[in-house]
Amino acid sequence: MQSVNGLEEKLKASGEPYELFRYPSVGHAFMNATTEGIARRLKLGQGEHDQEAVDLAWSRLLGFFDKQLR
Amino acid sequence: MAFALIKLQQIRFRARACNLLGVFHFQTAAVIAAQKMSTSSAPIATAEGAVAITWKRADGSDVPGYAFGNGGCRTTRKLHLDISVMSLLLAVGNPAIIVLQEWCGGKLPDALLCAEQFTDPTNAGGGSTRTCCNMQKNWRVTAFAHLSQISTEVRSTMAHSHIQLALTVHLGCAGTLGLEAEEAHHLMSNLDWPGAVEDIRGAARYLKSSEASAKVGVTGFCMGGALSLSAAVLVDEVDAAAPFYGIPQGVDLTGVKKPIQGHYGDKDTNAGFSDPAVRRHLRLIGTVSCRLMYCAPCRASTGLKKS
Repeated sequence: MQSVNGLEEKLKASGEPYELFRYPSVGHAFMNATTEGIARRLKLGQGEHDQEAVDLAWSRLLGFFDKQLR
Repeated sequence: MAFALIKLQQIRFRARACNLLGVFHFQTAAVIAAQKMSTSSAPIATAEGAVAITWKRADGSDVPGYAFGNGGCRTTRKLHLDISVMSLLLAVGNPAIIVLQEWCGGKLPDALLCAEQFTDPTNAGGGSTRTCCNMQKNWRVTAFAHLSQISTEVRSTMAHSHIQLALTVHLGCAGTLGLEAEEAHHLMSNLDWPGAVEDIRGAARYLKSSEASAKVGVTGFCMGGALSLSAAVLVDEVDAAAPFYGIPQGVDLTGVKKPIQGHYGDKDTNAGFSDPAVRRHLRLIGTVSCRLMYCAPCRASTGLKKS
């Protein structure tokens, strides 16, 4: 069994630089902004759609690759 | 310095335009869909603009596939970008990202309905579905599903991206033709994890050798997120990994060798896979919800120890 808390401990132990972002308002598959995805998440109790969280994650992702891949 | 910044902005703008045009032309954000079907080694599609490619796994076996977006991107670049910009693009190291996503049928959480949708070429269920069907009517359900979902999250990735090349790897589903719901489910449950990891390695090698990418990043969603993390441990050719809501089992994550950026939702209830903490009592609920959401259990442990 793995969890984000457990992941964080392991990443810390790895010695590699890491960032672990947690998004309080959203659940699994929160990046899926399709109507179906949003409806299904609600139905399954995975939280509501939060476009702000999605946009933030995209910007972080691109910033990360911009930094790491150049 | 100011000049350099302006140039960089131009590069970003043009690369983004390039990506968007690629998406527009081919109606898919998929760049490479590698396949490793047991019954046929023939490429999966003959879509216009696709470039047939092959890469080798570590064990020497070939992985045939098609490059879509990068072919289109290259053409677009030739048409619209002048040589000076092109050389600048190359000068910044041609960074590339590999984007991974397993099945997340976007329509109905039911394998049979997904199978019908993906195998009926007259079903206009969605642009991506139609595109896939036009490409190859009898393609494996699982493979269709990968591309179907890729067209949402990965398309967004590309639309947001100034990175000029994105790859999508068909997360290797070893097995036979999976048109029946049961079989599709079986294929997903038994995703060839070591094979998928090798496919990531192959894709990264391909990018570095054929596309002159100095660095290759990998990101992915759900099972693709778990695979991204696996790649950060097992695939030396990958330079950075950004997993979304997925954590693999069966691989020692203290052995991560690359920079990581993880994204996880606190309300994630997929216990033991992407939830904030282990919640023993929610284990069953987590598994069920994941299964409903993806038409397959998000098991991320199968076989990884072998590699």
